[in-house]
Amino acid sequence: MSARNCISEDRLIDFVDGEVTPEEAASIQAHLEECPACGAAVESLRRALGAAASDRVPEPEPAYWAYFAGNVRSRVASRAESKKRRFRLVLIPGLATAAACVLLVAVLMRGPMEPARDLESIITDLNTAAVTEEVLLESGVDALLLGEIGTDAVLLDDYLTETGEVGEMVGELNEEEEIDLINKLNSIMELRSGFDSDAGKGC
Amino acid sequence: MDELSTRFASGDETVFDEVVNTYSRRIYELCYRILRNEEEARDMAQEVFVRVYEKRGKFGGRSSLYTWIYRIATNMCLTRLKKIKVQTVPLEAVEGTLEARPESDGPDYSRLEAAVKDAMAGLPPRQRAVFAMRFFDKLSFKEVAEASGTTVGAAKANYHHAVKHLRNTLGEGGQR
Repeated sequence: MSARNCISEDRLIDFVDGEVTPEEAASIQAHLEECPACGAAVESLRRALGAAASDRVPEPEPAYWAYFAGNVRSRVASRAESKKRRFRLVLIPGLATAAACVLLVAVLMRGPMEPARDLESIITDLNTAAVTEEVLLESGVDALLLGEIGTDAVLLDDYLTETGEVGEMVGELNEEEEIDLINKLNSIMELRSGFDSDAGKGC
Repeated sequence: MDELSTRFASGDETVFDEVVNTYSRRIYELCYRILRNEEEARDMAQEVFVRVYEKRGKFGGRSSLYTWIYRIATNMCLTRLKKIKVQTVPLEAVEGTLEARPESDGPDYSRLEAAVKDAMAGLPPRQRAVFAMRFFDKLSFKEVAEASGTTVGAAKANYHHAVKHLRNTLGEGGQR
């Protein structure tokens, strides 16, 4: 059979994967019996997948499984405790105001839309300044991000519920989105500084 | 929705240990297949369930519980790989050689096993995740799409790319 009538590699993968209807499978099978090139391609795919099936996952020692749930519980408890500590720190008014002042100065020293610093340092600032979910919601920036980042609900959840840990989300962005996010985070910090000033607390 | 998912979605605190016991092994295996490093995978599997616990109020039952957990695991593993890449710079450290070989590459460590490990480690992380869910966990493409936060078409394309890569590295000929 001529190459013109050969089956695409994607279709052959579907065939090997069992992702074709019985009628299609019969038709492909008939073609394979007449076409050495497609027959060899299917053989090669089967050989590769057969080898891939032998990829084994190392088995952790029994103690790992025995203590798995307990360790998860310990981590949950320790994480909850450290979040509480962070929250208490945020409540110290002087510290929060001082952080806002530092951020305001940082924002004023650079152009508002130009990402002058890398994302890592901005995230650190966000963590230390403890930009709260409330601030974000009031700023409306989350709605913008929702449109920009798309429909990834888990990532947006991360953003809205754990705003101190936006780094988790950032890992999913390409360079252009990352620059855009930097600009938006800068805006958030400006807004936060504005809130603090409006509250007559500082600077 | 199965009973476990229903109870979890209803906020039943007592079901959490059962969720952990039901899915921990599958999540560990998925983490390993994405991270290609046993120690990282062991740690990440536990971290995934910490996140599951913290986000339990967000599970609305729109997807199945295991695809929801898979999605958290996939996102965390991919983020972890990106962080490692940022810290270590050479891309190969993430996409090629993060995987630790057995201490002695002796006769027990067959050439085929080494070739398979290299081929898997050579896949881009997202393809690795999609391939693992589809090929090893036998998830449908719809489930893979849900678990990897993408469309069915994109999940299928990722799987096809992964299979072609494996065919090129493990198939020994047969290319047209």
